[in-house]
Amino acid sequence: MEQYTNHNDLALEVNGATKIFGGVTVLDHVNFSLRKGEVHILIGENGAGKSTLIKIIAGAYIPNAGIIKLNGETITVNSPLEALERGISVVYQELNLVETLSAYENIFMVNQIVKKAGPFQILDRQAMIQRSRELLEMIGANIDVTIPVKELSVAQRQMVEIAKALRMNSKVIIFDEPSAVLTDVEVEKLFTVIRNLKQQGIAICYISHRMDEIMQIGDRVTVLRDGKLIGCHDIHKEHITIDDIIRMMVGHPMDQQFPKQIFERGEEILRVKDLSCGDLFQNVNFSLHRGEVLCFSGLVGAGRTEVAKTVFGALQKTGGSIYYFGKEISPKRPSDAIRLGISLVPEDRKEEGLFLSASLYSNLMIAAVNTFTKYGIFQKTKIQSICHDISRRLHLNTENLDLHAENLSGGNQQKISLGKWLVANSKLVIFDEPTRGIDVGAKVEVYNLINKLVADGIGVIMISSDLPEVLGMSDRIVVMHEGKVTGELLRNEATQEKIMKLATRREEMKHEQ
Amino acid sequence: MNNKSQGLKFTNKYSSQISTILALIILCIVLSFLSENFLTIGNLLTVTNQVVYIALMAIGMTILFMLGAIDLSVGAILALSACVMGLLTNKYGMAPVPAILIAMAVSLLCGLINGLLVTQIKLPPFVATLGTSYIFRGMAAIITGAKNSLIMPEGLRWIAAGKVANVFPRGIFVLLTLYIAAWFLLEKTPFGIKIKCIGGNEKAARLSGVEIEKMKLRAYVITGALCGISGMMLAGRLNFTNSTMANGAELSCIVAGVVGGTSMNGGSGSIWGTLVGSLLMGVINNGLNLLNVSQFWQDVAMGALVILAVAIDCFRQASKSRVKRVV
Repeated sequence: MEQYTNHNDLALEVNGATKIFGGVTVLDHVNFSLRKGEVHILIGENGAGKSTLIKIIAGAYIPNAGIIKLNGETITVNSPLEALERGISVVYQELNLVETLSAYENIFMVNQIVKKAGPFQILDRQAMIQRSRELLEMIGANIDVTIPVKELSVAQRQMVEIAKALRMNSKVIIFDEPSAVLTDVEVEKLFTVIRNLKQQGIAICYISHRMDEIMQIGDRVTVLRDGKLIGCHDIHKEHITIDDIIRMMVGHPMDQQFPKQIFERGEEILRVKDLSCGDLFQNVNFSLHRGEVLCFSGLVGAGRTEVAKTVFGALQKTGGSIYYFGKEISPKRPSDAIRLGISLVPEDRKEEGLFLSASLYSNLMIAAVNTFTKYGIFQKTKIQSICHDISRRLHLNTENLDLHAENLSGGNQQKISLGKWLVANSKLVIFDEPTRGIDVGAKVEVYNLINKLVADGIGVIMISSDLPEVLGMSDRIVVMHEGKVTGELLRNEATQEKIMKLATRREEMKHEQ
Repeated sequence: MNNKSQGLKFTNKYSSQISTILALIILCIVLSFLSENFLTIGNLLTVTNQVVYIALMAIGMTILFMLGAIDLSVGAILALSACVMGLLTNKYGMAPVPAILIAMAVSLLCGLINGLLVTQIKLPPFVATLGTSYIFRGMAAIITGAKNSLIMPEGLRWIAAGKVANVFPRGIFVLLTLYIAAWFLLEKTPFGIKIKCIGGNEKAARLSGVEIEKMKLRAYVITGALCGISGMMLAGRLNFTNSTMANGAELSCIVAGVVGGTSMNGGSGSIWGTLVGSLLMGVINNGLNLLNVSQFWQDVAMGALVILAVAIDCFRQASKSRVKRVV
């Protein structure tokens, strides 16, 4: 029987981990440890070396130097499978599930349960289904394990991933930014599960960009910067504040997390009246004026992205009307909306926003590519002057626009995703989750860009699941729940509680009682 | 921007083509030692002239690869348009110019049909063009009654089989002209960027306002037209048409594109790589012929070429992805 009560009992220890890629040291003699039954937050800006460290622990990378000890015993892990068999699991942000297979088939991806049938060994599906149900029950998730994973929500898929880890009897579970794809309610559920795992003595490493989570769930925090260990602190014993952590991450104190600027409210840019799109959303009304940032808040699946896509012409409205600078419009496809100056910076920049294997020139030019030509032929000087001008406006820290988009960090990728609309001279920019998965420093840069857009008279609509961000950056907030607008709040009257009530409709239920 | 980064840019941009060019040069050197007939201007020009019809269709295939699509009916379109021309001039005694124009119209129509099947009925390109390849070749056999047309118009003979100053085949000039035109279209006009962006990320291209259906349709029509031109050139060079001509040419076009470093997944590629790929195939065939190697072994060599070329590209990609993020 192992003693889980002893918190100084180290489950995993990494000493002097170093990784060099093509002459560049991305991880420089980093020490890291996980105690049994603790939640250890690993934090750092993009490129700080977090994923490299995780991949070394998970056996995906082989370090150039350094040792890994599991339960005090030095081990070498040469492959992810080897790490898994030794009890180290990683729940990646891009979940590693086969979408066409069911939850139980995913949970039993390796080492399936078999039974004897005469001379053959055949899969014992009933046993696997039974065991999968038990595992999911353990973490309080109620999921039909026999339907294909693609029909499950992101939060449910995460639970399947956790069940997969538990089934391998993992003693170390690493969560790679699990909250980035979840709503606040789902994050709360995830935290309950994590606390539960902690009780069982499992060592948990949690990577996140959200500051408020550190205080909520973390026991210790390790900060990495530029591949080096900056510090490891006990959150309960030492008096660590969010500001301290941000200072450690960026290397200098940050003035403001949300550099909001207030502008005078001007003419109406967009008005949406009784807009509906099938069963995705119904009778949505809102307006956007020059000089303000309109935020859409609500849970994932509330229909916010769909409203944006309908205004942008990527979805077809089934009812209602859209007025743009006072004139009614009905874009049939995105190119119609773009011609009018409406643009959308999508939620998933890799899937919907960027051309990863294309140059930054192509990425910036694509939305307005015909404007760079004379008699149908490209004008090189025009391309260069406009693209370089935009890249300076975006504070893109590279002059080389021949780089491929895949070589940029998340923050810079987001800037490129926005940059193409600046090239296209948009008059209305809709941001869908503009700061998802990018680090603190880059977030502030995105907020500054939003301020600049508003200052230039461009209308800005922002969809966000990050409540502090909604409160910090918006002038007005529209809250949606299951395809309907449940309320509109002004900046000075909005609080997290009010938004959550509207987003979950607790308010209304109270009235009904 | 300094000269060094410009230089780097060039080698980066054409990195997958450089290995193909190197392979072509090494092969030529080796063959020149093995056979004294190989490295003569006459032989090299003949080799080039022989691959003209493949190289022309391969332009279309490369564009479709960049889009992430494919056309398996190129050989069939070639045969159908050539047969239409042969039939009109031989059986019905039509004048060459209108016959060629009608044949070209047929090839355009074939491309349009492929394009409509892919964009309107949303069939996967592989399936749609596999189906039409049987239909087009079947049509060619039906209209000709599977008979040869044996007399080709003088003009076609002049351009496809004739030589300038008795040395330079005119077909090579046609080839170079169309390659330069294709390069111009892909590199100097919005067409190329749109095509590559669709191939790279179709969803993002749509959300960036690229009219995907229109671009795909155009790519298929261009491919059809190139097959028509290619059909006229082949008919002129061989001096006959029949419904089995250019059988299996679609596979040669795929080889030319893939060996030339264009990924079938879309998003990248170079027209010059395809030209080098076509030449490499021609040189291997010619060299093995000169060395009296049997046709069966030539097939084995061609297969090895494809696997080797793609394997090299895979290693290159893998080593590239190990390089750290720059910014």
